[in-house]
Amino acid sequence: MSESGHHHIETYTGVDNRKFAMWTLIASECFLFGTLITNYMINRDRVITGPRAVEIYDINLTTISTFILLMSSVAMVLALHGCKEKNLKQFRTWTGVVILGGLMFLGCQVYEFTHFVHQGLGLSTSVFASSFYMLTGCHGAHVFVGVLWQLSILITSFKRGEKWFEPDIIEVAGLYWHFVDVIWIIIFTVVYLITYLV
Amino acid sequence: MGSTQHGSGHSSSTKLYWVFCAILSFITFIEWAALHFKESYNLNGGMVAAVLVVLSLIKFVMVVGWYMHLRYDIAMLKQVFIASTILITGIAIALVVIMTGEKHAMPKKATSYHLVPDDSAIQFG
Amino acid sequence: MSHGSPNTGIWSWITTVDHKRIGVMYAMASLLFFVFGGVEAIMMRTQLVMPNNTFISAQTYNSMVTMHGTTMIFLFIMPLSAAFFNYLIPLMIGARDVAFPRLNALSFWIFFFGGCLLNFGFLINQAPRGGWFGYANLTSKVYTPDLSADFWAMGLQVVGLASLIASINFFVTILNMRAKGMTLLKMPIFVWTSLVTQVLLMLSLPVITIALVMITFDRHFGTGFFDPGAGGSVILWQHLFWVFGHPEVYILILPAMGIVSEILATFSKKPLFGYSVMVYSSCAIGFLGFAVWAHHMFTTGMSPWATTFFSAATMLIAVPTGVKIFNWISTLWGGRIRFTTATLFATSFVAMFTIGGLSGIMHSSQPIDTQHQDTYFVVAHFHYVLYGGAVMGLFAGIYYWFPKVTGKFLNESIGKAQFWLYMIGFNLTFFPMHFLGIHGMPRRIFTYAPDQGWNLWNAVCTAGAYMTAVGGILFFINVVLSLVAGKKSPADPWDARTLEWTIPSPPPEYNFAVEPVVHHLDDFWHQKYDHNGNKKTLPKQPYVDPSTIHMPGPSFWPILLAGGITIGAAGFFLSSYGLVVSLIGVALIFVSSYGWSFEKN
Repeated sequence: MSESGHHHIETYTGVDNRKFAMWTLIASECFLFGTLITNYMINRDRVITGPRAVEIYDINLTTISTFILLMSSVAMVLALHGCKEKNLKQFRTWTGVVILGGLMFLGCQVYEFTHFVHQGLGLSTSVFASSFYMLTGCHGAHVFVGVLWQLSILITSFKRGEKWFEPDIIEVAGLYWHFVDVIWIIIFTVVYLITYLV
Repeated sequence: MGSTQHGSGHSSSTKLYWVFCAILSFITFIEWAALHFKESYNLNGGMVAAVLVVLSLIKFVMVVGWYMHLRYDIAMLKQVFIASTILITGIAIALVVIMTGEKHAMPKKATSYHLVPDDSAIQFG
Repeated sequence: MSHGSPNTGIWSWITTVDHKRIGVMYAMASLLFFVFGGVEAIMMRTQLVMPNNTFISAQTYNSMVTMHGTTMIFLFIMPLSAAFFNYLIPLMIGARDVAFPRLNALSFWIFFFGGCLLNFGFLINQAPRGGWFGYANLTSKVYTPDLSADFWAMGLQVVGLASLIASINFFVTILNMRAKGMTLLKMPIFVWTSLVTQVLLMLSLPVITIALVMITFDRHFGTGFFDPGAGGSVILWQHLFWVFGHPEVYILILPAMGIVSEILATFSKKPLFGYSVMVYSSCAIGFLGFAVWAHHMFTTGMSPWATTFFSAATMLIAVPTGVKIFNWISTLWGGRIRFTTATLFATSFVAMFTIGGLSGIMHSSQPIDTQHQDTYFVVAHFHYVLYGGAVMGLFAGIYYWFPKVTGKFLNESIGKAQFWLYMIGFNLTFFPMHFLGIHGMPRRIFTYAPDQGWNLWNAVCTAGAYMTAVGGILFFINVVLSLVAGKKSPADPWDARTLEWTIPSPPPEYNFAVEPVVHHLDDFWHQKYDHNGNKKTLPKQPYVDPSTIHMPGPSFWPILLAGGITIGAAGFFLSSYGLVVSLIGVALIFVSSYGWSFEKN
């Protein structure tokens, strides 16, 4: 998120350092979420008291939130495209859509969690509950950070005006956003859908 | 914001994004419908699960390859990502296999402990 | 200690983003924690010198055992290795700095504050005492009701974050900031082992991050991940910990292996034997390192299939490791060997690591391991590889690169005295532990009965420990004396092979006046000597006005952000006013992050 004063450093591979660093971070985060998902898979039947997964998941709601996040990813590529084409309106509008999508997704998560708590599934109700909340909570926190990041970009765009186009930075922010979406793609199947099948 | 607009006059690259958007949405719809199909047609749960895993892998590859542009990036970045994914998948499968199944299952109800001379040293009655 | 930087004074060190200064700070901090870890060891050995001793209580002993391991691993070996990464990687690849200089400073300050957090418990008599591996559910609120387990879990989280950030920084630096012409297979071997180490760090740290979060949640939010009564599993902790823990031991040894490879080549006046084999074996070790973790759990009752797999994988990983031993020996073989202190430490690494590797391969057989598990035989094994191995290798590196960093040699006579005290002391301490283990002495006991047959060897072990301590004191004396009155060093005191020796000792802030272009592996050697070994005249460096070289300026956001993170972590487990403390930390994090983003550089 540095300003236009950042001079382009020549790199050995030709890839921008920040982009390279984001892919490296993504590799690391694969292991973070991989551990959380593994932990969930190991613990998903560990219920002594409280609702089980089959009893409590709302697939309709989760499909909607999955769809929203997916659409925000589409908006993200379009925002990057707008930035590359130096189309200010396109860039700002689609970035706004990304933020909106992220906030709606988080809203669905908050709704889901509140609903679950009312149905008797708290953080410490069972090991299944703890594993579920830890996984989806961590993912939600990542979405939240992403929303903050996109918001900062949008605000910077309004402060700097029509000369501010930094496709390198937007691309890196986009990689982060898409990765958070990709993790949810896995979670949707492996956590929610599989519950009713295996 | 003009969800039916295709490549607003510039490059055809936005068109591809919208095509992928349609495919991803469709797959998501299929995933949602899969549970209904399973009930209605009395399909095998494991088979449907396998299909769903494949479908989510397709979504995964599409987003990573095209939205994240990895398909067109240098080999080194691809290797970093693919190697990590393979490694964590292997570890995850190993851990889930080791830690699920009878030996590590949570006791259903511990009413009494019987020591029996076989592998499962403790049996819960 | 002048380093060519125009700035002096504490503030310039606090705000530095120069990789060389950060490397020096890592070294100084790690040596400080080395003293802590050494004192903890001496306390243990003094308690164990005779049966039924009452030097320290059982609880204090448990703290010593825990903190000795935690400190030596996370606060000594890892940061000292980081000191070498920091100082040498940019120089060896012909770069002016790392990819992200401020992130580099951030890593150091997070590590330093995290180390303080880990040790803070001592001040309130709640030092961690659950073992360095914190087995559940000893660390649960039930069995550790005080804050000691929280200092351990949170301290490790903070220190782990430092390593994670640094690993991304160095990974990008090595791949993206190399000089023109330096293809991957022309990089110095130390850069290769460092690269593999960064990969291991960035992939294994997330696993322990989650595991430590689970411990904290169990202790403070009533979850039951590791509580069988709540439906959880204690074995789950062991798996998660060792999925991190095994790559961690390769993280500890690979940098030292790289250092030893460089040193043996230089002081044999021969190229490293089988360079590409060494590269591929390092990569193989890194990859396989993720597939052997459950060999730490052979006695937990896993199924025969799981046990067999991990046993086989562990035996397999001995192959690339053993290959390296042969390569080091072959490097020395037929060379014109020069025995400096660095050479002594480096060759002892090869021998000691081999011994440790032999006891290691014995562990790979599950039936045999059942006899070894939780006895002093294991203690002997890992001290041979970590102390005889990694620590000896790191000291070799200190003696080798000290002239480059400071412009002065370390005193060779004191160095050799230190070396022999270390060698003899170390072997006296740890070789008898093989016997103690076979004779049944368990690990982590604070005393023992007089009729077990362990008395003689325990006394010998303690004598060895004291000898080592004297060696350590000599080392610090050597450092101080040499800094004050050491013999001045030229740019290339050892007639070495890699790029860091082409620039002055100590180097200017910008490292290279002209960014080098590389044509060969061991490029500097090829610049100095032709194929027949005849000296060439080095080309004259063109004059470059240093003021035209733009280096990133200093910044105080890294130390501020590091402070915010540590305060946020510390407040997390303080019950009454903890939330306030954490919120202050979070506020600091926000402020520093934004300040950082908008800083002009």
